Formats: sequence, structure tokens, C-alpha cells
Amino acid sequence: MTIHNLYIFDRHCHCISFTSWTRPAPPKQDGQADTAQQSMQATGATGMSLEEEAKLVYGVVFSLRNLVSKLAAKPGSDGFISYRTSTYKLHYFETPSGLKFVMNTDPHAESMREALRTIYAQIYVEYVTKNPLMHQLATSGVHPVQNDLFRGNLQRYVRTLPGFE
Amino acid sequence: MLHALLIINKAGGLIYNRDFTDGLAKLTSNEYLVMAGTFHGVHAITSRISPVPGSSGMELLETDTFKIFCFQTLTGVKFLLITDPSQPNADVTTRKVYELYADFVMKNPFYNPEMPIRIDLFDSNVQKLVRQTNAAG
Amino acid sequence: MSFPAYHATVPVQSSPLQSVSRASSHGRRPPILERNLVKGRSNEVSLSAYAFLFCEMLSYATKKSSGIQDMEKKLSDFGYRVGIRSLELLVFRDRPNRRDTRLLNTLSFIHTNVWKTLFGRAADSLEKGTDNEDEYMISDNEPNVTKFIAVPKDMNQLSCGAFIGGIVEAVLYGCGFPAKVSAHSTGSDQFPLRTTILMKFDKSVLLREKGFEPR
Repeated sequence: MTIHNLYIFDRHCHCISFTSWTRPAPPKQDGQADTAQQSMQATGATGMSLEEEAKLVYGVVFSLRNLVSKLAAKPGSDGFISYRTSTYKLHYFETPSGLKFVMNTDPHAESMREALRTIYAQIYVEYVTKNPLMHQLATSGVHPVQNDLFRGNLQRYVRTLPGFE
Repeated sequence: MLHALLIINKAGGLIYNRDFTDGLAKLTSNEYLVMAGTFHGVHAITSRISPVPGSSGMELLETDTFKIFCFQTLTGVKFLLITDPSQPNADVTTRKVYELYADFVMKNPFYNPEMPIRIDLFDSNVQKLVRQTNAAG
Repeated sequence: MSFPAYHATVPVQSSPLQSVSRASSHGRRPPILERNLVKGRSNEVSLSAYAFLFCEMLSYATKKSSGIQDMEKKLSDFGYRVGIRSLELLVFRDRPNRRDTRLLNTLSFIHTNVWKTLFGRAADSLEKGTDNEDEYMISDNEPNVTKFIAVPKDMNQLSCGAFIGGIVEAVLYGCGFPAKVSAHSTGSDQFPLRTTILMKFDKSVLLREKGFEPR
């Protein structure tokens, strides 16, 4: 099993964080994932810039989410969980506040829903929402998710997941 | 349990849809058309945003209340089967539907390719297949 | 030709390019005109290939005809050409040097031999008409010819079995039993595609038949 990458979108449909575990990261040598802004110019397997790719990913999950909620018999359910193609599986988790977590793994992976929940509840909330410097960061134009504490903890957590290789 | 079957032609137009149970929200035919168009577009994008090169389009979509199996033929026709979340391998059923499509739609002299399918013989054979599958599951 | 089971694969006559590569490994198949006339399993034609051909025949007939009756006439004419030729082959294969003079024998020849050769199995029933002395019926519960055809509602009088009707008419004519043949869809819930071929024989046939009866 493999975990490819993780996108986090805010409710204004901006990709605020992108972390890749399989994509070669040329700019940095220490294996640490890039911050979203730095790697936005890089291209991956898709041959697009990350910015473009993130927009497409957002478009897909957004459309699917609407499509699913339209088809579901009882409204208000969580709806869209994941989809898979021949080469990858995309897992989706949305918080009540509109944050969207999207993780790509290999197609045979188990559901990552709980993992995404944990990333939200125990890493995002702890190190981003509760960060006292959040507002200062926000006014300086950098999203508060770009801090080492969050990134470090995310790395540590994902590496413990059963699917990580 | 199979809830519904949709067939989308290679241009993204909905050419067949049938509900078999009440498990899904009732949509108007116009909403179904829009949905087919959306799905067609999303399906194309999903193969482009793959982290690994050479991906197919979406094959299985999971939600908490249903699953959508999608089988795309080499000619670009998509068969969408909406099932219960517990349905094990409906992709076998999509292949069988494809077979019925090849037999009773494509071999029917009164059918115009890419147009909506209104063929009794196809209908009754799909119904039979669904009854068998639903009885077995 | 005969139509074997559903979806049987066929050794289709290959294109020149393929036959070169095949010739090296398996040896070339002789062209159709050089093959033995006596029937073997390899003379079967794919049902799918046939179905697509029939599709085109039907759409040709639709384009060229003014109404449903006209169209059935066209289909029947197509069938006639098939019938008259396959009778020749059948007589050669199945009953050399024999010629039936009795009506019932000829009918059962059609019901069994003709059907088996063309469609891979015998027809489902052979009956005498209840109202008229000169009428006989052969029914097929699921004719191969129309297996995949659902006639649209606005053309529901059309019976694509007219093609089979034409074949039967030609065979009867060739055997010396001229008759008016028509095809009717007699679908039931159990057999939605059931087709009945109605044969109304010429007076001369019945007269001759009477003559055979012992005085």
C-alpha cells in the first residue's frame, strides 16, 4: 500500500496545504515535504502545475459531493466517501466548517476516513486552529497551516498509518 | 441490491436510465441528464489528476448510502450501476449489462447509435438480470 | 450456413494479411468455393455477424419501401433468394436421389432439415390450420433471425419473420408445392419473439394430394 499525497482545501476553495509522499521533491534534500506555495510551480505525474492540479481536484470533489447529495435518499448524510480508478483511490473528508481533506492512496487501500478525521481533530485543530499566532500569520498573507509544528506532526502521524510505505 | 442503471454515450449524453428500487432520491429526467453530464466530465478529469501516470477514469464511487460502479467500454460508452453500499462485485453485473447492450441494442435494426434507448427487449432483459442479481444478493 | 449457439465464435474468412500469417502456422483454409459441400461444423456463421447483416438488410428495406406491407414483401424476397439456393444444397446433402411427393413429408422436411441447417435446431411446432384444409403452420419460439430485434410500437404490424417466410416459400416452390406464405408475430409472455409461418397451399397441391389417397 502507498499513500500518495494529501490536499487540504479551505472553504474558499483554496488549496492551503499540499503534501506528497511519493512525488520526488527536488527543491529540498531533507525529505521534508514542501510548503504549498513553494511547490505550486512544480509539476508531478499529471504534467500540470500544482496549482492547476489542485483546482481540478477541488472541482472533482466538489462536483461529486453535489452529485452524491442529490442522489442520496435521505438528505444531510455525509455522502461522498471515496472513489477509485485503476491506479489510485481518492479519500474525501469534509468538516462541518467546510474544510476539505483529500488523500490519494493506491487503489486497494482501506478507507482512510478515520485517518483524515484524526488529522483534522488531532493535528489541524491542535496546531493550526489553536495556534495563538494564527491571526498574525493570517494578516501577513501566509496561511497558518504553514507552520513547522503542523507539518512535523502530520509527517509523524502519516508515517504510522498502516498503509504507509 | 441494485438501485439504478444509467448508460451514458461517448458525448456525455444520457441514453438510458432505470430505477429498480426506491433506495435513491427521485430525480426528474432533466436532473438525470445534468447528472450524467457532470459525471462524464468528472470521469474524464479523474484520469488526469492521478498521482500515478496512466490511470483510467473513475471505476467505483463510494458514499455512505450507495455505491456507483462505472464501466467504460473501449468505445466510450459508460455503464453506471448504482447499488447498495454492501453490494460486493457489481462490476460483473456491468459487464453483463454491456453484453445485453451489445445484443439487444446494437443488433437492433431500429436503434440509432448515440440516441436514447427505447427498446422493450432490452428493458425486459435488464429487468430479468436485475431480478436475478437482487434475489441472489 | 447455420446459426449455432449464442455468441459462438467463428473462423471468419480471413483477410489476405491475416491469412499469410495464419498459413505459416496452421496451414491455409481453402476458400469457400473449394470447400466440401457436405456439411461440417466449421460451416457455421457467427450469430452476431449475421445479426448485424440482417440489421443492414432491414434498414435497406426500410429505406427502399413505402410501407410496412411493402417492407415485408422485400424481406420475403430476400428470403426467397436464400431459400431457393439452400434447398439445392440441402437436397444434395441430406437426401440424394430422393424426391418427396407427399405434403406431410415435405412439411416435416422444412420443419426439421431446413430449420436445422439454417438455424441449428428444429422448429418448435408444425400444425394444421383448424379453419381451412389448405393451411399449415410452422412456429418458432425464438427465431435466430429476429432474436435481438424489438419492433418499435409505431410499426407493430411488422413481422421481421417475413424473411423466414420467404425462405419457406422458396423451399416449398422448389419442392413443387406452391403456396402463399406469410409470417406473423405470435408472441406470448413466455416467448415474446414467437413467430408463426402460415402456409396456404395452392389448389393443385391439394388435388394432387387427394389423388394419392387410396380409393
